[in-house]
Amino acid sequence: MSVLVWLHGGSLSPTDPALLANPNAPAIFVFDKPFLERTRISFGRLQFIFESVLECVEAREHRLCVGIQSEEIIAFARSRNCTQIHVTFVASPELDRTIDALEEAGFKVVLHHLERLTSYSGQVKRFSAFWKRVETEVWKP
Amino acid sequence: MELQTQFSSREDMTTYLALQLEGLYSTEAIPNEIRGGRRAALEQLEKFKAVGYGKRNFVASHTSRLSAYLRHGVLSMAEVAAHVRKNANGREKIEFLKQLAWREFFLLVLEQEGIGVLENLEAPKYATKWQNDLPEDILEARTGLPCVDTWVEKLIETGYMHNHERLWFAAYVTHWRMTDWKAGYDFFREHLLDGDIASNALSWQWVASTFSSKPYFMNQQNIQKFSSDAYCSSCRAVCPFRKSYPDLERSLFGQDYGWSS
Repeated sequence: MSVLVWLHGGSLSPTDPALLANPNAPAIFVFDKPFLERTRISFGRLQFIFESVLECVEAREHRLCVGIQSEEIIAFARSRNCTQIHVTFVASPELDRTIDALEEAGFKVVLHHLERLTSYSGQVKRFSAFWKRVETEVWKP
Repeated sequence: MELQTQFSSREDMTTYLALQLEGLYSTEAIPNEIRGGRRAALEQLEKFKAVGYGKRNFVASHTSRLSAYLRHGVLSMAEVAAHVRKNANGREKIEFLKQLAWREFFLLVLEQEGIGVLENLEAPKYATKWQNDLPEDILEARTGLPCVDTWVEKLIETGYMHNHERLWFAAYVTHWRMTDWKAGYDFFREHLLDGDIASNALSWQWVASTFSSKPYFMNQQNIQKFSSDAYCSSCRAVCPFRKSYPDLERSLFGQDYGWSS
């Protein structure tokens, strides 16, 4: 079993859980061309992301590229004989679509999770009700 | 197309990235004042002790400037919270931790509702027919209202807008200009360094009243007070905000939500 870590716009720290869990694995980040072609995004946002990615991959094998996200990840994973792709989960339709494409291509996708502020996992509707439930934990975890 | 990762300077990197991503961004290729990366994030975190955060509703107040790092996972909410618990006190600590809890709340709503957060979660609480597109004069910062035009200019230039200005701007777009909050969401996503689905879409919905029990709005006095009179004393425009809360409630929504009480 060989692992590739996939970095995305919500997981851009060298202390990202997927990176920390796989200290020797190569990593990939893709500027997703189809997304950027249909979505207006300022240069400043892309530069902020790029600067953050650079620090994430300083000490490991990496590929940073522009292209179709799922295709680039699959090609790099195959070139390194990786069968598992590790990624830190954030709720995002783009992330979901890419995970589906990776699984369809036969890869096992392993999800890691960012450290949260609270342990609350119930339904949410209004902040005031949520706050009453988490207030104590937020003060003193 | 593979991107190189070694650069002699930030200017060199900016020039390179602008060329490689040509056609994939919507603005001029001008570097940010706020730098990306963990090192810059930790420097900013170290500086932040939440001093004056209790007055965070004042635009000139000391805010954390950590939101872009939180948005992109460069910092985690847990580590920022731990820093503030250790380094801040009293009301300032309480206010900041509560703001972090808002972020967590919005993320939980996103996990719960999925892509549904990009549509009205509830019906608007007043009769309205919003137009789809953001008016050109807003996009081009030429509404003639010095406050609104300055908010837009600063956003485009810096990728940042103070939270209170975000609320004012969202209320202006949605209630005064009768524009769908989704157009405002797109505009913020384009420019805000911290633009994300959860906080961005749900804050717009909160203002629009599709994720709250009543619409949020403000009047001129509120803008004057919390902007530390940055605009109003010298403003010669016909101000659409210069009314009492009850009068604005009636003219904007045709009903009384009790904001003034």
